Amino acid sequence: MTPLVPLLSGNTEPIALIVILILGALVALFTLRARGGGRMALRPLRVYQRLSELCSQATESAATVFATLGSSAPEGSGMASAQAALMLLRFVGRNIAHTGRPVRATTCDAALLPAAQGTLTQAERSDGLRHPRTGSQISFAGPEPLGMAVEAECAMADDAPLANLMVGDVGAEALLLTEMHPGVIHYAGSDDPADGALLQIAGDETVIGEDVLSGGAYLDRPMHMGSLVAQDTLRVVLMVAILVGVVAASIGLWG
Amino acid sequence: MIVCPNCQHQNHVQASHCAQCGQSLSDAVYRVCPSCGALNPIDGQFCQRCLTDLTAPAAQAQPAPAPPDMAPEPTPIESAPAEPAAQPAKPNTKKREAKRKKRRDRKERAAQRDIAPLPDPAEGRQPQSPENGLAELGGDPLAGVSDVLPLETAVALPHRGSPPAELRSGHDEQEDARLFSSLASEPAPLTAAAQQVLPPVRAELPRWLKLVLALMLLLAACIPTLSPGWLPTPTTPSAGTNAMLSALSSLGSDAQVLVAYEYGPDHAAELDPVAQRVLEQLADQGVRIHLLSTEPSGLGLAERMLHGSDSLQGGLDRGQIQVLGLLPGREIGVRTLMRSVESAFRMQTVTSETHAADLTHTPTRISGFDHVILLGDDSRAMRAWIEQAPPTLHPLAIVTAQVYPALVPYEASGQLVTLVQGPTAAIELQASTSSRITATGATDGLAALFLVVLCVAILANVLPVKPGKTR
Amino acid sequence: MRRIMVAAFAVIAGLLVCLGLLLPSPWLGRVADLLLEGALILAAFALLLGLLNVLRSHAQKAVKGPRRGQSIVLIVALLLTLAIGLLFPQSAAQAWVFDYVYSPIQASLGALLAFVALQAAFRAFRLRTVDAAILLVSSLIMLFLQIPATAALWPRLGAVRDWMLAVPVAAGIRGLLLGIALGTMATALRVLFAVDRPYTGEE
Repeated sequence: MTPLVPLLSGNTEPIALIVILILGALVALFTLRARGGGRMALRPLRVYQRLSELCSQATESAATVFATLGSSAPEGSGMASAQAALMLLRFVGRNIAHTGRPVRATTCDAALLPAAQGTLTQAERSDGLRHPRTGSQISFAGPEPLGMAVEAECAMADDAPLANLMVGDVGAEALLLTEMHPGVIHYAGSDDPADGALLQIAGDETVIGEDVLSGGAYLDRPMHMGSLVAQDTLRVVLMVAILVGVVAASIGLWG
Repeated sequence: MIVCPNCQHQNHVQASHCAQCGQSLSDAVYRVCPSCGALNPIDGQFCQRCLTDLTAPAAQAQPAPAPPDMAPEPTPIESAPAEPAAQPAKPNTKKREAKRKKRRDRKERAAQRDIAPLPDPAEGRQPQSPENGLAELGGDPLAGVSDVLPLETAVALPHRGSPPAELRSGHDEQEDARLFSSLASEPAPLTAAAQQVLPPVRAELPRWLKLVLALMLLLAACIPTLSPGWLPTPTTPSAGTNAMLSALSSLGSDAQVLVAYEYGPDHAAELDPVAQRVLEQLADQGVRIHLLSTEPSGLGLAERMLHGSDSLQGGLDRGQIQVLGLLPGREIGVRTLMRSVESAFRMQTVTSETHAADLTHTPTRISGFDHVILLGDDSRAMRAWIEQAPPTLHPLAIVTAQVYPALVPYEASGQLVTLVQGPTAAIELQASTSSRITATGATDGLAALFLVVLCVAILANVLPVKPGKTR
Repeated sequence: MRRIMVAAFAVIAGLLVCLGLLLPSPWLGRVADLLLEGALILAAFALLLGLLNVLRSHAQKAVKGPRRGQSIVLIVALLLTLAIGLLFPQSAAQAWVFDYVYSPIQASLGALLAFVALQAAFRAFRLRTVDAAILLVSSLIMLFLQIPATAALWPRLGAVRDWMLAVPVAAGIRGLLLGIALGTMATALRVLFAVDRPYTGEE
């Protein structure tokens, strides 16, 4: 079978560098435009709209929110989903800090633990919480996702939260939580294609694929809109390149 | 205009009697204060509102103004000819004086409601001799009373309490106030407020239904051991399995193969049969096998498999098979391995009672391996291996059923030699060897699972399920 | 000042690793390898941090809480396994703990997923929306085609299965992977440009 990228005798690094440079330029351009107040349209994503309503509901009912950060490792390709999980944690932590009920979270990646603790502490401080908690409400449940699910289940049984956010590198263990606690609103999301189908049937509100990574632009980081628009622009370029390649290969110009 | 002291009717300035009640107006004379316009008794020396000296020359010519609600501007009113202040009081004076006092009090109260600023009481005040003032009132009501304080016009002064001490708020109170104001003034988008509808609470399934589903699943799980082989099994493996077998068969006795155990005990049942079969075949061919894992549990499974099989244990004893160890850091570890095997395991030595890690027969670079076999249950880990492998090295992946669809594009693009789904590959391998009974049982088990899912789909649409409560 | 220094260090390290992996420069490659090895060491220490977190949170629960017994069992098991691993590395005792305690528990939890997956499927297969209908039909078809007996009974079904996996499924997965790759690159670039600073927890 023909390899996917045969251009430079099997070396993919130069192509990757070119793509990164192009995307970097686009991100810089559109981020500056976003910073300057440029308007950019986004298609609505229900899960993020519901998240804002969830914070209002949690404030009114003085209920807490639980977060299952999954096994998102803040390194490698998992960094993006780890960032997405932290962004949701920060949004929810900042918006319900004044209710007095702490946001609790569990993770099964040890490197994500201090990042999550710092994020939550900063979020609560920015909401005006005079004595922000030390971040001890984030717990590490061992490196196994199923062990994390068990720890999360116990914590949810004790706290009776309004909602459970499972966005990041979350897999089949989400089913355990959704079925053991049907009275809790479950927000599920993963950028792993293999987990998309399971989360679709597990969660009340689901987001899969790159929509997980675009949460910042919808929630509290308008600067992320620039990178989102840059992604879409490069996507159009790649689509055109694919179409050109398909046509060229079909008529025998390339193959 | 003269206001009748009895009925407050406003009479003509020349009227001697009230047109309404007939009260004589001869006594109803007022002196208008030149400063504030208040009506004062004709015999009063100081204005009862602002304490202006009414006996000053400018004050004597001032007429009494009309009541404010009757005329927009105070017009000078010619009062009745003022009688000398020293005239003696007429009979029935006490009653009249009482009435006058009442009128004065009423006017003072009305004057106090007026927003006009009062002049400084200290200005224009002339020392008032109690005797004179009392004489103007027509007699000294306190005659014979000793130790009487001099008359003061304090009643004309507005009563004001002392201003409150300045309140100083502390830092905590200021923080609370700031927080409160930020909360209170936080704008609430109308659209968000209009859509405060959260999804309903999902109804918990009835206990009996959960029991039925569990029993159906248990029955399907028991089928492989109970069934005599109702369904036929394929006699030849599928294309993917064949490709895997041919890739392995082409390896010579001096070949070097790297095997990555990237699955845990929860998926061991899916991948252990194929993994063991592959390792045993390689061991029989004399291939040198190097095992590693980025997960601690994967390493444990590898060692358990090695010790559980005679041929593999023998290969371990001969040094044909060796366990390189744990590669921490997931993708970073894989990246480091791709750069240099030596640097990835430099800080680790795997020692046990009978085996010492010996890297002298291990290729120092990943390109020195003839094949890389990936055993995984995590799509992300598999993609990390595939995407970081050098272009000249295409791994062979044996994965779980859940991960299989996510890696199909990599097989189609040629980045994988072959992609094999663990459970079905195990059935196909068993069917082509002496383990046929196991293969048929497993086939029946998969068919039973399909029937269970079909029953669930039918039950879900037939049984009435109580809807969840709305929040 | 501290924030600027932290951000500058993160950006410089990220750029060095990125360029070291992409450019054919031996010097950059060595620097990138060094930084990656440092990250590996940090990951190992992060595991130690996680261990301390587990001990602390469950020690608090063991003193007072609704699940004191479970927390006590966890702490005892953790310390015992740690002691075995440190004092008797690569021993039969360690293998015993893995083979007869850890593996069965993990396998049982994995098996439990089958039950909850079936319950979730019961909810998901209710034909209330078009999505649910598509999910139901496609799930049944793929599950049916996965049975090896179908290929044995009707060989064409095997070809149908291969086609479904190679064409619609692969197309969908490719689209998802492309979007995820772009999102991952954009996230990484935001960190490199210091728009996002996850290492400080600040916005």
